Amino acid sequence: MFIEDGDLILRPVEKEDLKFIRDTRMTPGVREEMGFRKPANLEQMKEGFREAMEDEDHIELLVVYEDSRAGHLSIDLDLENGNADYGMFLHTDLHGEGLGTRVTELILDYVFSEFPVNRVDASYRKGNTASRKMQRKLGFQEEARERDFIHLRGEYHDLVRTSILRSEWKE
Amino acid sequence: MTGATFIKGENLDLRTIERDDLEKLQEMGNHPELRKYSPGARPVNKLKQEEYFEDFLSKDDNVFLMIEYGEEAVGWVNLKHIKEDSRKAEFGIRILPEHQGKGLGTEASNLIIQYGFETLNLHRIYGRTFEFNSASKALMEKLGFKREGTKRKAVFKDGEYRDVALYSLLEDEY
Repeated sequence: MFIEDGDLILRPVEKEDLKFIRDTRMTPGVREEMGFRKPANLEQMKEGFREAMEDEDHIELLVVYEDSRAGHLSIDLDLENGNADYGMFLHTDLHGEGLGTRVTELILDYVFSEFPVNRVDASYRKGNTASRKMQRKLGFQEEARERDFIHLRGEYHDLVRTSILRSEWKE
Repeated sequence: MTGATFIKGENLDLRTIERDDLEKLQEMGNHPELRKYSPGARPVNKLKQEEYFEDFLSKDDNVFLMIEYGEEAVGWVNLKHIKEDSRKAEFGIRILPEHQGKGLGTEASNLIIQYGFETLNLHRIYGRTFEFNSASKALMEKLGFKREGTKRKAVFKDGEYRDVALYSLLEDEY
């Protein structure tokens, strides 16, 4: 366990979690949304896992909800510029329960508390209402819309870049 | 019990740390309560813990011992960065929150300090802790460490740069 909030736990990612991450990422519908175009098997997952471990500025955590694996998140620190890039996914069964908001809240607390960063960056595909709502609720500001940035299901989509500054995050 | 008893105390023993302890070490390293007082900010998974165990904990210039109390590993105590030319080492201790306040820290610390001066023939044992960690400062003062300075705003923790308090205990003060 690394961060705990009742029935929600964020803990280090272990090799044993890769199967869950693979299954979730490869789910049709989720896969396209997350930008995974090609299949990734366990071998590829393991290699990525080992590579990611060598990078001090890359942090990953597994989301565990009511004792079951529920999702995965990553934080990429850029300490020279004082920012951090955040990305998260939850298993489809758990969408719409406000879990994403709780996870992101814990992560913003963690990042602003433990690292000298001034801003946390995120993004969402235009039309992804769940992500938009969650980010707005937590105070992320929309600061750019990259036109036709994502090619998905035969069409181009805009990507909305968002961020939240330390001064905007609650004390 | 995992490991071999290395130093016997009145209420607790200090024993070698073994590969079988990795899970316990990982739990201690990632523990939300303990992390509040530790500069390490990143999650540690099994592989990272194993790396740390092999490359640091099991090296000759570091002595890490598990605190065994009532058939349970409740924390560890260490003398690390042992320098034989200047005969000094850095003291450190971690105890799981549910076992704090029982005097285990004082006993374990006294045992390893005695070992440091008498067996390793050290001349100086130093320690450092966040200025806001009053429990740790109180422990070092109780052990006879003298405050020797402050590293100003040295480590980012809990939303800001924090002062680090420096302490040391010399051979002839012990």
